[in-house]
Amino acid sequence: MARRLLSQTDSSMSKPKVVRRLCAHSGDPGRRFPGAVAALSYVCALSYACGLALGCGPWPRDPERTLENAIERGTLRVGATESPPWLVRAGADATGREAELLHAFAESLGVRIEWQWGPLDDHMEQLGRFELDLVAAGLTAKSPWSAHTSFTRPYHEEGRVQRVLATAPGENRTLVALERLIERHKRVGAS
Amino acid sequence: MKPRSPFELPAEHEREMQHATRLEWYTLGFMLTIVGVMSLTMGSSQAMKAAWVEDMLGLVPPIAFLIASRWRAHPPNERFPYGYHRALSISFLVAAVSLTGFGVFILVDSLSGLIRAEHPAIGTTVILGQSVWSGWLMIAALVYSGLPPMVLGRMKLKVARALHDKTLKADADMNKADWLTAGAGIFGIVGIGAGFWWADAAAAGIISLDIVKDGVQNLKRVVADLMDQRPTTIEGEVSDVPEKVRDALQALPWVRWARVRLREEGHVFAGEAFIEATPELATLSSAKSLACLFEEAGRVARAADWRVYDVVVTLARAEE
Repeated sequence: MARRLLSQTDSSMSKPKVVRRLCAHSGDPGRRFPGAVAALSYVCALSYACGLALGCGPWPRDPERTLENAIERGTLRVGATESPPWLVRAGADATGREAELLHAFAESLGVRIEWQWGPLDDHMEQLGRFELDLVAAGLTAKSPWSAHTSFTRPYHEEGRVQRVLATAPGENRTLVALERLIERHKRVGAS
Repeated sequence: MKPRSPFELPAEHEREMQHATRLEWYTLGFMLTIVGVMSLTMGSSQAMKAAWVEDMLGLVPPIAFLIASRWRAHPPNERFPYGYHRALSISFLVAAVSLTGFGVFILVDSLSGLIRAEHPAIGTTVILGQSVWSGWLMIAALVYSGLPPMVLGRMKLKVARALHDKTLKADADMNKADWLTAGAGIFGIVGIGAGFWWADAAAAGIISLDIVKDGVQNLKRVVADLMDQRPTTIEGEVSDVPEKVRDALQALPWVRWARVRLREEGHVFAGEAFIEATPELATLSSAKSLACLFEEAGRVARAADWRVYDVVVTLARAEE
């Protein structure tokens, strides 16, 4: 399997030569393992991990390129559903805690926000198809949509209620970037 | 009722048995810490979830082995005249079922993930005020969860061969499955980090095929054992012990022809021997009683291999 996965990723990734040489010895992993081969394939898995991690830029990446596309397009497509006090429509723009976070996020990417106002269920379906980049709707971590999309860590907690934003499913670069920003804002707010 | 006489493991095997018991306690201890660490770091990664469920299921074979090895030592009694050796076969059955069930679980789980194109999300965790990508923590947990089973599994395999213990063998297979899934999990998470949403489910799926294969193989063996198949080695090959017993019996001066019928009960063999006596039996039996001669034949049969436990010797006509 080591080799199989490697050959699939080889074209898109440049890895240190050592990794490739190590993996060439992994043998046929389906049958009984002689001890050395077993240990070696384990080492292989680890060096593959290190090789991949060191050999490429942004980590983790978005499988559907949400952030790259947003930067190229110059806009962040946010599905918005008014939910005071977290998100309140204000003319062409929005206010509230979620709006503040998203403004800071857009600024860090050098893009502007394209607010698309509408019902939550429609936004979530579109987010699942990667037709939106984010959804802001005063969501809580317990929302059933959490199984369908990727929720951030909470930006606000009150008892058991955790307020979150939703990113497109498995767009991990977006998720991680947004969570880092939320964490920074929390710390600034606390101090 | 006439209970069988108790079976004593040869001294060197008794030591192996204690070693095996110790290994199983270590496994249990490590597995519990692993399950704890994994549940702390597990996100929505498919392979990670698979590895965690597997670690939970991995607790079954050691527990089955430890319970069965308690029972094994009980001497036969009025209620269980055949003794408790079958307890080991039952624990082997439990171990094999859990191994197979586990393999099927991941296979279905990862296939459904691939079909529905589920994009697993891995966000961040805050450690000491720093936001760290949770994938790194998962990988660390997986490396930790892979190493003990790898070492313990190899040690168990050796003891399983010496003791002819199939539960231990199934458990060693489970340990192999353990570190293979841990490896697959690492591939999967690195793959996700590199932007391949399918890497995780694909790696888990490929590994699960190997686990299902191991599970089904073990299941077939234990069902065959419980059906009183002829004895086999722990690898499932035909054992030569019945032939050894036959030859030992035929070497007796008053035996012209012998055949045996053996089955496995846990890690011992038991059954019947059929012998045709030579005319010498008449002269011998005037010196010793006939019962003494047959008892001696039973002893000879048991001496042929340490695993031979109880052989009932009876007279028959040769079928050639």
